[in-house]
Amino acid sequence: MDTFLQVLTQGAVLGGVYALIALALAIVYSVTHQLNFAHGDLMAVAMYLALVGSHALGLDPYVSIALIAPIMFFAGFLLFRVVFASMLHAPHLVVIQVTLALSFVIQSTLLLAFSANFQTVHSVLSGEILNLGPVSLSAAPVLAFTVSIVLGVLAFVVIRYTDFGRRVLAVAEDSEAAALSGINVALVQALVFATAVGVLGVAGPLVAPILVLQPTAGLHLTLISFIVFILGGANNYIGTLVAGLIIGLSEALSSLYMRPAEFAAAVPYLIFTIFLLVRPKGVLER
Amino acid sequence: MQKNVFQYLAVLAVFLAGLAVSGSLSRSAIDIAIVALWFAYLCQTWNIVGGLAGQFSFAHPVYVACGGYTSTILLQHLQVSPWIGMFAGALLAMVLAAILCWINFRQQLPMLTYALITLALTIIGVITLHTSSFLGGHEGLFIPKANSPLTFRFLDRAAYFYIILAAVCLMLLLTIALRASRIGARLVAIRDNQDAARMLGVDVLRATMAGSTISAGLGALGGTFYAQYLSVVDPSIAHVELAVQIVLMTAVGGIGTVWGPLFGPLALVPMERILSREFVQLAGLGQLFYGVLIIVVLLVLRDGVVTWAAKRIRQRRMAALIAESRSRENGATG
Repeated sequence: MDTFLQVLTQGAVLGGVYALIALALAIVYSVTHQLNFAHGDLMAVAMYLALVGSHALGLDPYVSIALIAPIMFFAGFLLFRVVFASMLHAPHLVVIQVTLALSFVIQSTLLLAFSANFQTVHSVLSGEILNLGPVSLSAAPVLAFTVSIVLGVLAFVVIRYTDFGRRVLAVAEDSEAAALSGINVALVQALVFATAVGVLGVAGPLVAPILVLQPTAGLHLTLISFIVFILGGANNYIGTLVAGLIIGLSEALSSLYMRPAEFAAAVPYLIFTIFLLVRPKGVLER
Repeated sequence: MQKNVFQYLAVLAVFLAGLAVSGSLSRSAIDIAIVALWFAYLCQTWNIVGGLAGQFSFAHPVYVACGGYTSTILLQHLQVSPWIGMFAGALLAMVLAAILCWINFRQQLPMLTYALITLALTIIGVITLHTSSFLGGHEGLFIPKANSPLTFRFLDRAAYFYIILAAVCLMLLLTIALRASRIGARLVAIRDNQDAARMLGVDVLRATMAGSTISAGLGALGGTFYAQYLSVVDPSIAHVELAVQIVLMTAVGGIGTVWGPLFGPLALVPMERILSREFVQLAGLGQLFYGVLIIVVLLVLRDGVVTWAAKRIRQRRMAALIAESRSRENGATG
């Protein structure tokens, strides 16, 4: 029973992080209608930046967020202006192709800079255990979960209750009408994209001590965020959180019960496929 | 019609050029040529459904694996020659493609949803191959090397080169014929506007079903070829990266065109190989160049090299025609 509870909470904790990165993807999709196949690779970049901070500068991953998040924000702004802005009116196909190529570029750069070896990052919380009644949890995932939830709520508040948030909603609703009423649509899109990449800059260092770093780690994260985004529904915060938890839990539980154990990795994809077959319209329009 | 004759002659020229250079290629160059042509073949088969019909599918590696694994299992367990076994693999791939196509039609899946479902299926397929002991798990299945043409095994690399060259040329002919045919026109109509096509009396299910099953079956034959050429079939044959590369190479050449799927891999595969060999101590630098080049081509030319070139030629001709008619008008008035 103890292992069961343990795995259950770990799955839920990972699910919270999944929900956060899917949220970043979803907000970008709502204002630009671009599905970014390099989303997870950008997060992998943030994870490797945490590695650099810890090895070269001796910074704890949690401290290095203060540096990495702004770096990622500006990198995201530039990336949008250089690559994504020129595809705003391109068909979905072109966006898929270009972002796949971008993912290829990022993976090769990581391979070039850090080699293909698996690497791990240590933090102050590595090995720390929290005891909560019958369950004892590693501290690092719990912190990642808490920060993810806080950031998710923050995003909700900003979008609902600030002027900038209303502009974002207007652009998401109808970018032409938004432009006619005096909103600088290009700037809003660039800022939303940059913020989403900045959020990855927070999430990356948070999970770097939990996950194993390798240059190709991004693909899995990209697909997980697609799955959570689609399961959860567009602009549906609660839905995204629930979907993140479902995927996190299913990953954790199937790694415990699935035989052969290696097949556990396929379970989120199976859930996703079945869901889409039942509710094909999902959230992506034609 | 005249244009088609010109294209058929161009295919003949490609075939003869391939034969001509085959003698002068070094051992490593012929390996690169075989892999490049193999990618071209896969891009061509994917192009039927991904290009002509606009059904953006990532499931091609699954079909390729169907071919490679089925023919190898038949050879190992029942001593069936891969020349026959490859059609069993093709049949299996066609059944899978038919099921996918039917689901896509019944549920009226949006394009991105279909792309993501096929991507998920490829990942599930790879994981299944890795975990199944009957299929050899991580190591895969080995095919003993021998020189027996009857069982699709040659010690001379050139034989594989001739086979894949012929296959690529046959695919060129098929694509040309398909584009000129009724079914090809129906597929293009469905790609451009499915509702309009249906209203004009196109049987959408039948046309896409034909396109996807042909594409999958031919892709599976490519899987058998690759297994025989490498003497091994392992899960890496079905990796997601293969689907990504097929899509990107076709896109760089020109999706939906006859010559794009040939041009893309023939330009990109040797370039990637040479770059990785030049920068062997810097793993990844070659691929980095390669990826940046693809992004630049896609952003600048949008529809790939072949489509871009065709557009330029058409513009030139139009300009020449306009200039000609202007000068004639001037002559009449003056």
